[in-house]
Amino acid sequence: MKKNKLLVILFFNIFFLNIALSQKNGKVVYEIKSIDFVPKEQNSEVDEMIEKAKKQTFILLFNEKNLSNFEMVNTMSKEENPMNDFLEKMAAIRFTCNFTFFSDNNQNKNYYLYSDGTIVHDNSQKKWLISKETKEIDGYLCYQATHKYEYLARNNKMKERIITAWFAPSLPYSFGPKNYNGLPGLILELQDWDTTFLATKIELSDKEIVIDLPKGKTITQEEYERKVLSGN
Amino acid sequence: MKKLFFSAIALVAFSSVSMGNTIEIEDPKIELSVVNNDETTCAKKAIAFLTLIDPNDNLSAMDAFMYYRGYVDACLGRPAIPPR
Repeated sequence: MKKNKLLVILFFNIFFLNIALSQKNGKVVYEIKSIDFVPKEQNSEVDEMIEKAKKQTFILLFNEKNLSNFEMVNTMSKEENPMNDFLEKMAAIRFTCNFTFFSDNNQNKNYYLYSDGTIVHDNSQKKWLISKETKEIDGYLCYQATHKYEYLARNNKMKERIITAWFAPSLPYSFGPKNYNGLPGLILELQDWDTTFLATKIELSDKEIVIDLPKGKTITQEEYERKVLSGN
Repeated sequence: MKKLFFSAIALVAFSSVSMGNTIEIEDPKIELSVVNNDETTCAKKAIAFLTLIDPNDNLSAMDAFMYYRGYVDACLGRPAIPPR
């Protein structure tokens, strides 16, 4: 009897695992769980910017060809309003994500599409440190991973930033918000500086999701930084 | 005779040049005048706002510049490039 029970459990596990693995296409909606920033002085524009950032929503698409695309859901107002558009854009730069990201994991190629039309290519891979810490997010067991990187800050000093991700191995898709991928599971929660992204909706499908990588001339990240800082 | 005549003319010509009026300026004063136009005002506001949202200088150099330019454009009423 016990043996039969075990066989049944094993059968259902294999059955549902096959379903998950056959669904190699997905759409994940990320929202902003929290922004842990309080300005030192009261300022209505800063408050409005934070509120806009909190309402920004992002979509991650991935498919069976191992391509992915992450971008903000466009919330631009229909009427031309320079200050409103500015606050929306600045909220993205300061708190969330101001680029559209594409990855081709087969070729190890990443593309960043900025609002001025520039396409930046980058082939670097994220180096993650996976810890033993776990937590449950929406019924999925998640493990913690961290990624450290250095960057040139606006005071001309090199600074280090640590990104913390919680990924679910039971969702074997190595993608996540922004340009953070490469973990052995879908990232359900990600903390970048003072902003935390959270996956609020996951749709898996065996029907292919078409992802078109950006076409056109690409430049490196260094070239783009030089271009921006030169005022061009 | 001719040589003497032309030498005399050259002498007179060069003498008149050397006696040109030379004015000496005593205690030159340089006045600095600040042109406070809209762009300058917007630039100051942009920097003040940047300090408010990033008091610890954590923004990258590129992001800070993009922000600064976007603020000045919005402040001057120029349409900003929307996020994609």
